[in-house]
Amino acid sequence: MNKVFKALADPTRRRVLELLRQGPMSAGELSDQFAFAKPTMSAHFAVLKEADLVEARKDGKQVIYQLRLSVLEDALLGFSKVFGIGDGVRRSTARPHRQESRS
Amino acid sequence: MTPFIGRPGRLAWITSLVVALAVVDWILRPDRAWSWLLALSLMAAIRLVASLFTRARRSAARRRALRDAAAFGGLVLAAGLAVALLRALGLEDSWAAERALGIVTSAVLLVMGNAIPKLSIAHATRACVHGSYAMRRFAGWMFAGAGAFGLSGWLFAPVAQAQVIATVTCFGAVALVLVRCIASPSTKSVRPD
Repeated sequence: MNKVFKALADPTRRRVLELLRQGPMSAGELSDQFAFAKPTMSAHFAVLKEADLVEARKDGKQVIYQLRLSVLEDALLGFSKVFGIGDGVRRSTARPHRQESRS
Repeated sequence: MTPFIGRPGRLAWITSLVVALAVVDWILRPDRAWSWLLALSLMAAIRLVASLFTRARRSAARRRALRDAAAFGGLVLAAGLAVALLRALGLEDSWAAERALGIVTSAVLLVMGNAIPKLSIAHATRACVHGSYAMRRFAGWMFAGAGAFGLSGWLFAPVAQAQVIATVTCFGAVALVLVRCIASPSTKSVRPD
């Protein structure tokens, strides 16, 4: 359960889970929604996988992530979103869509 | 926080508890020997399945989930045997046995409902995966909610009212899930993308 709390404490990882609510997404599609470098996003995905909140499966060269939340974990995600746990730390780093390409 | 049913060796403790309860039940009610034998066989089967599947190549999370499921199955068996023991001791007319059974049943519904969205099902397409997850999420919330509502009824309401609360919430949850299942567009076949 510690791993679940650790995973949900970060706003970026919560945002990843919220994006996955819309349906399974590839690692690239998810990374495009954030301003972080790919290794940073990979670390976030690893934490989510370690906590068993997402499931990864290979589809050709892509890695597709899909949600794997129990009812309790879903409720915890909702609570942490409502109470904005850890929101002050990295609010400025997430953005809806990446407009510019990396140089 | 390590859950009780996640500790190493807890299945051995639960097995010992089930065996002890079955033996005491057998001594008190030898006329129902088949029931106790069935309980012991079920526990043996749970142990066998748990050991076989946890040795197979699976992720740590899957192995943990299997061990948890086995331990939970053992706990349900132990609760049933404990209720039978209460009855054998002459408490069959007491509210305690009925309430205990209601609490266990609601707890099972709650735990199973909680785990339903985590079930992994192989799918060909992303649309199938998403539709299936949405359905399992809905079913999970419904059953966990019914279990929690029934559990609080059995814990705090009078037995007669608790029976009504638990029955209505359980059947209500089943009906809602069935309606959603029938109405869901994800039940229609989807071509692979």
